[in-house]
Amino acid sequence: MANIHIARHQQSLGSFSEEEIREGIRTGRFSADDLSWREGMPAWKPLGEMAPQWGLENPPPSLEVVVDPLPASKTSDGNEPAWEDRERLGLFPAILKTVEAVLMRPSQTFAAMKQTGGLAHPLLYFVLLSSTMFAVSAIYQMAATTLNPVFAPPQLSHTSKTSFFVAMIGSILVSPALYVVSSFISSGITHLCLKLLGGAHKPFETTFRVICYAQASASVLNLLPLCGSLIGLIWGAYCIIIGLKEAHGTEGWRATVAITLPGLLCCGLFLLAAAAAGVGIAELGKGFGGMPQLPKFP
Amino acid sequence: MRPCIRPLIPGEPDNELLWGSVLAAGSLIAVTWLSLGLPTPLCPLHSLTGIPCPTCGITRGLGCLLHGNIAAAFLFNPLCMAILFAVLLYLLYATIVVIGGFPRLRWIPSSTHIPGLLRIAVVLLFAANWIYLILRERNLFPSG
Repeated sequence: MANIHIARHQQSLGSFSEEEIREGIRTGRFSADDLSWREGMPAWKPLGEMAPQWGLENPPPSLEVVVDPLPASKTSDGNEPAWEDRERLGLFPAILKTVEAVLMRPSQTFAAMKQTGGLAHPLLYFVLLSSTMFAVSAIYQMAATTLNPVFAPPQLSHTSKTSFFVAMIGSILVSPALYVVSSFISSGITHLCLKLLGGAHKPFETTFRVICYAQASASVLNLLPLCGSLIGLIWGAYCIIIGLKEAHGTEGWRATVAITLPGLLCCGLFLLAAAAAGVGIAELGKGFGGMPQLPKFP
Repeated sequence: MRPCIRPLIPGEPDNELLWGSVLAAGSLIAVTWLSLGLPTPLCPLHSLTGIPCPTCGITRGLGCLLHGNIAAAFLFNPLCMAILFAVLLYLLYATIVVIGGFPRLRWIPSSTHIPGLLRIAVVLLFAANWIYLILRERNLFPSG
C-alpha cells in the first residue's frame, strides 16, 4: 500500500507507512486533527476520519505531541510589528511605530515578530514605503538637476531636460510593480543562501517578512538628502542580519553571509579576494615574527 | 529527499501561483527592459580587473536568446542560462497546474536541512562555471 502523508499547521510532516502511522497514533505523535492524504484521494482529510477506513485505531483527539518532526516550525507567534495592528492603531501611527521599532530595536522587534499571517501585510508595507521613498529620492534628484545639470544620473546625463523628467516620472510610476517583484526575488535568493548555509530554520515567509520590514523601514532614511540612501542601505543590511538571526534562530555569521553572498558572487568577489589577501599577509607576517607595529600616537 | 505529487494542503501557500506570477512578471520586465534598450549595469569587477564575475554574460546571453540564438546564449554563461531554462520550465509547469487545478509536485525532505553533498555540488557548479568564464575571457574557449 502507498504511504500516508500527514500535515499539520499547513505544513507537511512527511509520508509514513501504515506501521509508522499506527505507532505514531499509539505514542501520541499523530492526532485526529492532523490532515492525512494517500494516493487516489482527491483532497486531504482529518486522520481521525480516515484512520478507521484504513484499518487503523482511532487517534487521540487532542494534540499531544511527543516528537515533532519539524521542531523549528510553528513555535510562538509574536505581536510585532505594529504595522500588522494598523486597524487598531491607525495607518500613520502604525507606520511610525514599525519604522522606529525596526530601526532602533531590531533585535527585540524581530525576536517578537509574527511568523505567520500571510505575505500580504509585509508586502503592502514594503511596496508602500519603498515606492514613496523612491519618489522622494526622485524628486530630490529632479530638484538638484534643475539647479545644476551635473547632478543628473550618468545614464541620463546626455538626454534633454524633458526626457530626463519623463524618465524620472516614468520610474516613479512603475516602481511599485518593480518593488513587488524585487521583494520576492531578493527574499527568495536570501532564503536559498540561508538554506545552503544551514541557517534557515523557518519557512520562506519568515525571511520574506524580515526583508520587507527591514528594507522598507530603512528606506525612510532616503528622506535625508545626499547621503540618506547610502545610510539606508547600510542600516537596512544591519537590520536584515539581526532580523534573520533572531527570526530564524541562527548565528549572526550565517545571516551575514546569506545576505552578502549574492552580492559577492555577482561582482563583489574582489572584496573577498582583498580580504583573503589581507588575512594571507597577516599570516605571512606571523611567520616572520609578526607584523611591524604601528607607532602609538600620544 | 524524494518527489511526490499531491494536492495542496488546505491553507498551504500556493507556491506555483506565487512564484509563477513573480517569475512571469520578472521575465516580462527583463524582456521589456532589454527590448527598449534601457541601460544595463556594468560589472565593477570586470571594469576594475578585467576578470569576469560569476554572473557576467547574463545580459548578453539574454540578448542572444531574444534573437533566438540559444547556443550563443549558453556560451556567454552556461550555468546562468541553464538556471534561466529551469525557470522557464518551472513557469510552464506552474501555469499548467494552476490553470488546470492539478496536484502539485513536492519534495519530501528527510530532514529540514540541505544535505552536505548538495551544498558541495552547488559550490562546485558555481566554481566550474566561473573558471570557464575566466578562461573564455582569455580566448581559451569559443566566444558567442
